[in-house]
Amino acid sequence: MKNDDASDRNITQKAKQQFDQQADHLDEATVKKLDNIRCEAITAAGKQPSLFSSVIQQIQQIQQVQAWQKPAIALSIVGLCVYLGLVNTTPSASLPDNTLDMVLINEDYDLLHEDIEFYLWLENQAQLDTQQDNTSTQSKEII
Amino acid sequence: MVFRAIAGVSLVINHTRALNQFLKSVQNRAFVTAKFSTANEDDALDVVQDSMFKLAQKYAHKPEDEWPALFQRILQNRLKDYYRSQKMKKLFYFWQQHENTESKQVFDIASLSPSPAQHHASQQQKTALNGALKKLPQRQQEAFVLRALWEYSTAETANIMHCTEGSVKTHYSRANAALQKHLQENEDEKR
Repeated sequence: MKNDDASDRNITQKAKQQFDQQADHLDEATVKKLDNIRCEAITAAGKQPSLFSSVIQQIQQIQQVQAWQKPAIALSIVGLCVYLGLVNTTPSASLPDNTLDMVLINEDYDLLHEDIEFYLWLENQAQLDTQQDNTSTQSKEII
Repeated sequence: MVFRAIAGVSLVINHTRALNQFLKSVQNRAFVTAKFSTANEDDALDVVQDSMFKLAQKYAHKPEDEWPALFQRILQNRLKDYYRSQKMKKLFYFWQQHENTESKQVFDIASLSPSPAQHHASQQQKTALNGALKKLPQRQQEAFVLRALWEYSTAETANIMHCTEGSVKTHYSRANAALQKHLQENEDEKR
């Protein structure tokens, strides 16, 4: 088992040495060709609209988020102010005591307001009637 | 706004520079890997070119630390495509097989080192190792190249090869055993 491991290591080392040696000692023509290929790849990558678009997109996204955040914050502040203003200005006076009676009776109060003169006249008539009644009783007593 | 634009441009420039640096660091080894598999300098250059273009055009926006694995995956896929096309060629032009194997042998001997006369013994060893490596099944060859030559970890190799770590270990150990066997046979033949 140990011999197997040692021979495995030996083969790996030999292969690695050979590989590195070949990679380090490539002939000039091949290296030039590889350099050209690399430059072409980089140039083609630069021309490709989708290549670095994600980097640019990321920047744009950051900008978009910032641009989107500003009106959102402003809107929320305005909303808060409006809400607070409404809460403070709402009348806090208590309702009249006979409100419940008015609601339960369910009378047509608009009509009441429109014919208020009639009711005033009716009230005066009633007062006049009582006065007349009083005078007649007094005269009867005198008689 | 202007600062942001400048920052964006400098970011793209830095990214391009980093990509160039990365491709420069792997180009020679990628070429040798492709040459191991294709046994043809022009085909190897084509494979490296395709791999570089694909990485630059489609995956350059990915984080830099993902580039090595992506590049390896592209390279290995491109080599698989190459094997497939070669198989198809062999099917249609089977009478040219003998000619091709002869040209491969010539390439192996001639291209192993810049000074073959001075290192005759090591040349023979290298040729034997090269030949043994080429005889390996594709997955074993892939595992051996990634683990032994590119020195990727088992996990990284598994990620590149799209398989489990256990499979990588199996392929790698089988590749080692096969290489040892081939080399032993080669030595026995010499004696």
